[in-house]
Parts: sequence; structure tokens; C-alpha cells
Amino acid sequence: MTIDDKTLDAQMDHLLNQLEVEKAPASLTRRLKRIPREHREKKPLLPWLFPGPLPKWVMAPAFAAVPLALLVIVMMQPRQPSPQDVEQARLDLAVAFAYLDKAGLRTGSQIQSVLGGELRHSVKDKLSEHIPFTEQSLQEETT
Amino acid sequence: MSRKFRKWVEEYQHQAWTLARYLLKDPAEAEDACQEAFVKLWKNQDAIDPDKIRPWLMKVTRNGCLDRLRRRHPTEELQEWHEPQTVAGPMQGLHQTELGSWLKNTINNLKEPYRSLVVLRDVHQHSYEEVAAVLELNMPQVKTYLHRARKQLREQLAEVRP
Repeated sequence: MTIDDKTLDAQMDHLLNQLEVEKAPASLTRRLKRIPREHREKKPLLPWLFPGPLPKWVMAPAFAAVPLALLVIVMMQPRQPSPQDVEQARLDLAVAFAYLDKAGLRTGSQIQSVLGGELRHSVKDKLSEHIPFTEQSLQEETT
Repeated sequence: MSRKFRKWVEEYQHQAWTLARYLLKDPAEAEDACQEAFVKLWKNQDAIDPDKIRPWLMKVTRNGCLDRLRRRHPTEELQEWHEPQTVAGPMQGLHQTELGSWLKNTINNLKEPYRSLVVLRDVHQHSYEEVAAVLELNMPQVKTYLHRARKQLREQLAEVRP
């Protein structure tokens, strides 16, 4: 390196040292100070599950649930029965009542016969216990 | 959180602005680039090591500026590793005061990454490590490229000095 090179270096270093950081314009400072207000983060919907923004796949089941919910609502709507359905239901009901009638009658007669016989025996036995001469008079009658 | 960010704005806005001005030359575009970098800083502040805010911000500012240059001049501005462009015409006999503005223009005409290197190291007085982090270069590269950049400046200075 020659002496001239050295002086050239020194001159350039001097010039470089004189270069200063430029002051940012006030308009930029204002813009930068507005950033926190303009870019405030939105609160996450489910912070315990997704601390950051919701991943896109989370929305997929939500979208799938919409047609499912519609289907359920449609299925829950009361269906208007056709005249044939009404007629068939009426016949089924008549048959069911006929069976019920028959069963009721049979049960009634069975109850009557069982209860009637039992009552007759119990009343007769009690009476013969409390009327001692009955046995004797009965024997007399037979003789 | 907002207070911390305001502190960063106060501390680093001038450096980001100077870098953007050197790289883009257009003040309006430099403002936009700075704002974009600070928006990224605001959004990523939790992920950045607090001790590395400045190199991070300088890197983002520079990358934003380079993206803008690519969009502006897709072929001519970003011949990053090519030979330097010489300043047009001899400007013999410049005075000391004029040399200052001449040097700014000459730095502006350096190619990347020489221009960023000179701005970060010689204007901002960043450490070599910080410059390496901003430009994603290793230390020998930083020193070599900086040497080349200064050599180019020196050669051009030799032509114009009184």
C-alpha cells in the first residue's frame, strides 16, 4: 500500500465517519406508533385448545354439521299420514280393542269363578266352626 | 407490550429509515418498507430474542426493500454478486462538503450486498457479528465483501478527490 493509498483510506474513513443515521420523518414516526392500535391481535376463540388463531381444519366439522342439522330438522317435522295409513290404523285399533274385550271377559269370568268358590268354602267352614250343633243336627238329619 | 414496542420504534426507526433510504432511494417507498418491517416486528415480538431485535429488524427491513427492488427492476437492480457499477463521469476537484454527498450517492450506486454492508457497518456502526446476522453471511464473507465495497469506494474517491 502506497502513501497515497493510505491518505486515500484515511480520507474515506473520515468521510464514512461523517455519514450519519438519517432522522426518520415525523410522518413515519406517526405511522409506526399507530401500529399497535391498528394491528391489535384478536382474542382466540378457544384459548385453552387453540392459543393462536383457529386452524382452518377446525371449521370443517362445523361446515359438515350444518347439512346434518338440516337433515335432522327435516326428519323431525310431523309427517301428514295418507288416507290408506289412517284406514289401516283404524283397522289395527279395532282388532286390538276386540282382543282387549275378549281378554277382559275371560279374565272376569275366571276371577268370578275362583273368587266365588273360595269365598263359598271359607264362609261355610267358618260358620260350621262357630255353630257346634250343626254337626250333630246334620247327623240327626241323616239318620 | 405496546410500551416496549414504542421503545423499539424510538430506538430503531432512524436506522431502519436510513437503510431503506439507501436501498430504495424513494422516500415514500422507504416509509412503506419501514412500516412493513415494524408491523412484522409487532406481530412476531414474542418469538424474537429481545437481544436480537435490532439485527432482526434490519434484516426484515432490508429483505422488504430488496423485494421492492425486485418488483421495481426485476433484472437490473439485484445483480447482487456482480461487479460494481462505476459512477458516471469524473468529478474532479470536489470540496470536502461536496464529498459527503458524493459518497452518499456512490454508496447508493453500490450493488447488493455491498451497499447494505457499508450502510450497516460504516453508517450504523453495527458490529461485524450483527452485520453477519442481518445479511445472513458468515464473518469471513462479511469482511471480504466489506473490503471489496470499500475498495470500490476508494477507487471512485481517487477519481474525484481534489
